[in-house]
Amino acid sequence: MDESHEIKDPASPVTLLLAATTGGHLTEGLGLFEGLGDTRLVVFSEQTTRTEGMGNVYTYGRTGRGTAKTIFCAFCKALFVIRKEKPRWVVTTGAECGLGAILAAKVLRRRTIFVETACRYRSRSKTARILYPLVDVFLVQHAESLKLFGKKARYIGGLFG
Amino acid sequence: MIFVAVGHAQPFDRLVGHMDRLSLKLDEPVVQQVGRSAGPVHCEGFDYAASLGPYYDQARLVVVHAGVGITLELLKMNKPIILVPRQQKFGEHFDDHQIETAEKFNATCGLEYILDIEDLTIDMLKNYSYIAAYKEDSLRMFRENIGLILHA
Repeated sequence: MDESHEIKDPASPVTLLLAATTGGHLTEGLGLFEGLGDTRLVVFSEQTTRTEGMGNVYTYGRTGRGTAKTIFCAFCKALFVIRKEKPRWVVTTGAECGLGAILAAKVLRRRTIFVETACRYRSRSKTARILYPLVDVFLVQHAESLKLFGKKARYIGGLFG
Repeated sequence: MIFVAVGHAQPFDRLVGHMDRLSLKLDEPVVQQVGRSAGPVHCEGFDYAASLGPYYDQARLVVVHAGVGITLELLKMNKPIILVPRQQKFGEHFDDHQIETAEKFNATCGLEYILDIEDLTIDMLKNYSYIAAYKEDSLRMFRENIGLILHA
């Protein structure tokens, strides 16, 4: 783990970069992580009317859902954001935005968390299947979902249940 | 007023069209946020609004696609809600995760959901008043535990 860019002062809040495609993924991420104690939340998402009105947010232009080009754009912008903000954790609730950001976090050796969407309890999202082997912490939001994944998956609560 | 909201990602003509037809037989107004869906013809509708809050406030009943964000927002407002999940077989979403969402809200909060659109009847719309309770236990547990992970 490269700690060279990390905030070392224990009195400083933990910086958390939340990467989420706009819409439900971002709503879930904010519901879970916004307003946590001793954390500074930075948001990374697509450029939309919703994110234009948000504070402490970085965006990238949307190029088409589900495309490799979109993920590549997110990856490139995330490299810049992570270098600038130096988050201790890069967290995602999905989808393309999260894929790009987690890949960038791996390149820059930041710690990573994936949270599977609360929409699912008996199926796996594509993002979850891709990111399961890559992230440091893998969380599901319903206890029933644990049987869909390996031993790395953890259930610590969720948006509802 | 009955408010219908279907989000923006893909059309949801099955719900918008059904509610449009039923609006002719209801004795209260129907307003629909339709996103990319066609219509409505017989009732008031709009594509997008920066905030749906004013419509939620005025609504006696909200009929909504099974998105987690919008459903949680309405639960916290103590509104009667009927969920209509988008279904892959009708081209309304890329898979059937909204059915899972609806099942989970039904199991945890008792929210009613409709799979066959014909089950959404005039009588149901006129008489539905159940207000489900949003339980914060799971979210509280998540936020306590994630704090331990983040600060480890």
